[in-house]
Amino acid sequence: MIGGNVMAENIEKLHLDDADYITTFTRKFRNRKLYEPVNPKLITSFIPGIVREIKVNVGQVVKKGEPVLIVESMKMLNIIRTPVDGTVKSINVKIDEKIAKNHLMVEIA
Amino acid sequence: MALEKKIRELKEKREIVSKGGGDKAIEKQVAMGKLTARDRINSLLDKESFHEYDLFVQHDARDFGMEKKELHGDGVITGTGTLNGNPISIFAQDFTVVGGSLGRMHAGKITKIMDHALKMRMPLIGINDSGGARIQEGVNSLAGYGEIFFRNTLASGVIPQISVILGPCAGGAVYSPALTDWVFVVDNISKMFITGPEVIKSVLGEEISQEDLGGARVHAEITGNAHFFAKTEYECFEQIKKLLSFIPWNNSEKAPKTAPKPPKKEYKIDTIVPEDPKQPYDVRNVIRAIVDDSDFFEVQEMWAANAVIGFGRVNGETVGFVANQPLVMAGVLDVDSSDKIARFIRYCDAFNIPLVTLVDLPGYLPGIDQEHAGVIRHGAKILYAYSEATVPKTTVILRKAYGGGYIAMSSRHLRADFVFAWPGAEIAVMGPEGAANIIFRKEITEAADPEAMRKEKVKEYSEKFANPFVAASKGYIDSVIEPGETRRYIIHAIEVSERKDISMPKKKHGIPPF
Repeated sequence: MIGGNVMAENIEKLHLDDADYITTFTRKFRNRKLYEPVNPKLITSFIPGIVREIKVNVGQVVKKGEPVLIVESMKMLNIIRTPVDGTVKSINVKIDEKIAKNHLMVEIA
Repeated sequence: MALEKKIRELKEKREIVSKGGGDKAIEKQVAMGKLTARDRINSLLDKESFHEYDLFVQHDARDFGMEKKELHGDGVITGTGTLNGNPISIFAQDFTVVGGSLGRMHAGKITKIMDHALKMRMPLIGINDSGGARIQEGVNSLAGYGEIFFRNTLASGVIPQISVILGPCAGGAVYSPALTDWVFVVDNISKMFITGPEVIKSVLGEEISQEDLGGARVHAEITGNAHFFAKTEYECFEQIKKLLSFIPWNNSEKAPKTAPKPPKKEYKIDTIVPEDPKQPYDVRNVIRAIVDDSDFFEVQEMWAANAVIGFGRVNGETVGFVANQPLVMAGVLDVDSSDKIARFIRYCDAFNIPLVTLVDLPGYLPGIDQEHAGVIRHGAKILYAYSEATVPKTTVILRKAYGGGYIAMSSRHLRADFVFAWPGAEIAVMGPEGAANIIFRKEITEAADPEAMRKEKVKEYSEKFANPFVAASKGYIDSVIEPGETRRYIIHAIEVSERKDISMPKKKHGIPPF
């Protein structure tokens, strides 16, 4: 007994407290971003920018809080620091390279 | 004779200035599929009722060559007229005059009509169609916006404020509509955003069209910034007239009463809701089976559709309806639906509109995205809004009311004045399946046939708790009623509440979980 303009192919099951409710999903719910745990060893860009300085070399031992890159973004020079202790495993950017959002810049092992 | 000449001159002057940016600019506006500001006002208000103020206002900018420019009406038309026969104030930005950009005098005309609307206790309609701040006027233009926002806030909850987005409305300008009560958008015409596609592209490298970023559909379905979506400007004007037929003219009046009418016969209230609480139905049909002439005027139809809000009349009196919608997301509460419901409750409370809440929900939506989006503080808004509201509050539990959802949806505990439940209502801490799995975990896992035991225990729990009588035995529910009695009980509740008077603790204002 479904009214309105809901098509049979839109019907979904919403599992809640061990019960399956027959219903439809909103577009916003269908398009929601699935959660990905943050890996602190992968230093990624959260906004686009231009790499201005690379402060470390591959194989270098780094301490938490140590600057690894200077990235120009929103007209500011931003110091990118490592959030963990470790060794620089890879550097995936070059000086003056334009990088997009979510770009993996430096990997710490 | 001299007077005749002066009258003739006045008429000529009026005619020139009334044309705004002139014939060419008007042609451009029409080519964009838009009406002119003047046509908009005349189409919306009662015929020939509009009286214009400040037609001859001139800008006073003295830089960047502006001193040589004459901007008719300074890009905005303001005045009063009548709508549905009652006085109303209105302004309409005129895109044909330097893109409807807002300078000091333009803002001054708007704030003057706002002050007038507040003083005369009549609604204010603002038609927005503007490229934004008039850059040549610098900080004076920003000051103008600030003066408008301040007045929006002062007038909030005193007179109805309606924003109609009929063109671009970008940057700081969008905050005025956001501060008003009702935002109307029209497909392909309305565009609202804080930063436009060009800025987003240059800063973030993300490309998006104006329509996809902040078009009418986006605000009607995704952001919830808009309350009413129309395909054409004329349809939008009809929606505004309809809204204004339901709401009072200010916060010291009640909504106008109309002649009572029964609901239409095709809405049979006892056949709409399936017995199985896991089966969906359209709760709007239940509302239509209750309200006069089955005329339900829904607000924010597309956004957070798992909750339904809107106006209808019961025995001629306007009622604000809040309902869970099992057809969408099983009717759960979540971040968006909590915002939607809470704001509507506050509107009804501010404008003396009784609330009727129809309950059928399994609870709050689980999910990492929901928790991280702050469902705690958003969900709390419903509790706050219902607890704070002093208008008559009637609750009808149609089917399931589980856990926190039961408390939130205008329960007795938040001081609902009347709580009714249908005989099939299940008022419990959670659904029978989940509850049985927890309470009887040991019996189920240790049974020779756990599945059979689980079924038996679910049945046992359902029979014992999934009914309205446990809650009724404690007085949390006033009456268990037949579906067919619902309208009669609501009419009675509203009649009994006619002189409701309760006082709240004295305070400057509360601190709702904004």
